[in-house]
Amino acid sequence: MNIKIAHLYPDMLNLYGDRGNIIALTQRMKQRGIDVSTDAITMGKTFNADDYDILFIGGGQDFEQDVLLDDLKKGKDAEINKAIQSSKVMLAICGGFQMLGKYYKTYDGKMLEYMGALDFYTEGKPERMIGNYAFKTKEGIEIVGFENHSGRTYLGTGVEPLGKMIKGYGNNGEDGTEGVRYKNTFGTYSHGPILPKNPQFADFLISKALENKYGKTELAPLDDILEEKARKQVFKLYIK
Amino acid sequence: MRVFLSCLVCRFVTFVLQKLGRGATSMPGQFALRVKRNVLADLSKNVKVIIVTGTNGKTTSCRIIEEGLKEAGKSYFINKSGANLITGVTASFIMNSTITGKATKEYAIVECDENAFKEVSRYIRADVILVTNVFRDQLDRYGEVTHTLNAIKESVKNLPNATVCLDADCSLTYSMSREIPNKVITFGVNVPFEKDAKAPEISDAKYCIFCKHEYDYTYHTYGHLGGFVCPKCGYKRPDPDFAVTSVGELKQDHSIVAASFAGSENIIKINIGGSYNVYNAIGCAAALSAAGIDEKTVISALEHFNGAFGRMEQFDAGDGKHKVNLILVKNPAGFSQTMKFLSSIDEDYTMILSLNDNGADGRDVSWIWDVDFSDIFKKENIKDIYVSGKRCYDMAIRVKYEGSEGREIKVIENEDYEKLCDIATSQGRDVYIVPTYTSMMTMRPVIAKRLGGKEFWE
Ligand SMILES: [Zn+2]
Repeated sequence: MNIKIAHLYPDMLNLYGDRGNIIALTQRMKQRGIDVSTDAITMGKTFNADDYDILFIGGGQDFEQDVLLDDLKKGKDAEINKAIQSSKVMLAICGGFQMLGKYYKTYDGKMLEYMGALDFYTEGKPERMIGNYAFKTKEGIEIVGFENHSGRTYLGTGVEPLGKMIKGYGNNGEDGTEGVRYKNTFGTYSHGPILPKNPQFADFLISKALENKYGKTELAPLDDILEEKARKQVFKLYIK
Repeated sequence: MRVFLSCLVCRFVTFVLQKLGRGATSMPGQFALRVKRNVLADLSKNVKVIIVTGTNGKTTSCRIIEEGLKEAGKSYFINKSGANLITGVTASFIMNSTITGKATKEYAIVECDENAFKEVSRYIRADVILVTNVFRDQLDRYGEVTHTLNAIKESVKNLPNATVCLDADCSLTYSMSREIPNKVITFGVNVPFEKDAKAPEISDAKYCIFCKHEYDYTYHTYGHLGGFVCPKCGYKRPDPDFAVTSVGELKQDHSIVAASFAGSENIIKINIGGSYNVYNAIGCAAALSAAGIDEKTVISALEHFNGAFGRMEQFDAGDGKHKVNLILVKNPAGFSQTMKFLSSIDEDYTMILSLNDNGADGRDVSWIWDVDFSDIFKKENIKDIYVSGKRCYDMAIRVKYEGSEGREIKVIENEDYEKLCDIATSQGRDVYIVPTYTSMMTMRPVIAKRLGGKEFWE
């Protein structure tokens, strides 16, 4: 078996250790004998979504986001759209997550037109929402992470939240939702390495990607003792 | 009158705290500021003030500058102990003034992070400002890396009469030279530390700060530092006034470099290992010269200074043979450089990584995933790997996913630094402990007590 990952803008959207997610996906597949390769889809580079099984996009600084929006509109947005609609697995984090939505309105009124691939929008507020947090997906996967965003995201009717908040702010600090999901696309504010510490969620994504390509596949269990202890440490310190 | 009162209150509170057996805290300064808000303006009038700011290398730079002043026979004081907020700075000025507010020392060395600098720069008067570099640091507190830069830039603008020493190799730091009215002196390293050093996988400044085009580089030293050129708008690294022109030796405990100080050539031994400390050395050469210290003394200071505590600090392991080394890490750039330094060691050693997530460490531990650990664990002379600290398991996972090459990752739970000390002294080999800030602050007294070393509050 062979899985190809497209890492979008690894050179620009690499804030908060996002590449930890690629490392986790790769390691967890390799240990199960699955071949994995990752292509960096950088600025100015075109790509065909059909060539990939998993798309990943991380978060970045505001300074770099303007440059990036121009580049997205030169064709990458259409490929990302195609990938989403054809049920490819996609994980988008923080800034990358926001960009899948319709727009970002900064708190001083500036409008940034985003991709509009999914039915949600984001509005900025001066106060950032920061901290260790946890949420639960409808499959019952409990995800622990760290959020740090000034944007408040409001979901439309065409999409579901990725999870319900256990502790923390989530999408907007109001409605108890976190992230977005649509087909096999998942967006979350849990920036940085969400997958190494949430192996269940990492395997969930891997399973979906394998299912798309090879039909239902059983994943061999891995030794996740350290991961479990890391999760427990965060839960004990910050969640409950 | 208020200056007098403010000083008096500060001294009184300090006296009481000392009687109570507590070290210097921010409390005396708080009281002083309550009495007279701009007491610092008066206090800094008759003393030459050198401010050290930037992301990495502040404390080591202060140590070098201190050595320079000492060898030049100048009297000075330094705001130590991480007490670098406005209250701490105020208290240290008061403790080095007469009761009427007249300075009793010739020089003051003030270490400020960018946030403290903003506050301090509104009141203080300064002669020299050293800006070491700007890297991504503790994002959950400060936001974007350009925020750090802007905070420093605005602070420098508050002190237009100071000479500013800027890192020419840091496109972020040097960019402020266009906007500040100050006299600027630049420093840098003209050559890579290793032949054909490549661009880092993660750069804190890949795109031109002025026009957002991607930089070209004629060479890389570390992180985003090096010979940057913007092909679009022409912004580029200047020829530094104080430059390391070639690198002779980079050893564990020292480096030997050739350097040009405003045109005069020197061979310098820097009394601390690590390529990033070559930057600290050349930056301090610029700052000390700007402060009126002669070249010969500067070179001697670089040869003789001792590392600041927790920054490449060495203790005897107790067996008369081996050392326990402490290297503080605060952000991806510094941590990556520390790993690079450790990969240059050939002797067997035990590595202990200690991660906390308190305010001063950064609440968000995600940054450890931006640290470049490439190939370090492939080296067979790392005999054992331990992790400790409040977030020891996050560190454990980081090492695990990097590939610990079959080694068990051993965990020291519950911030048990006595146990860490037991382990560090029973290895029968050298030990390198790499803690984040608050972990270092808690662990160091335990180590110092057992292995000998200066008390923190001295
Ligand atoms: Zn430019």
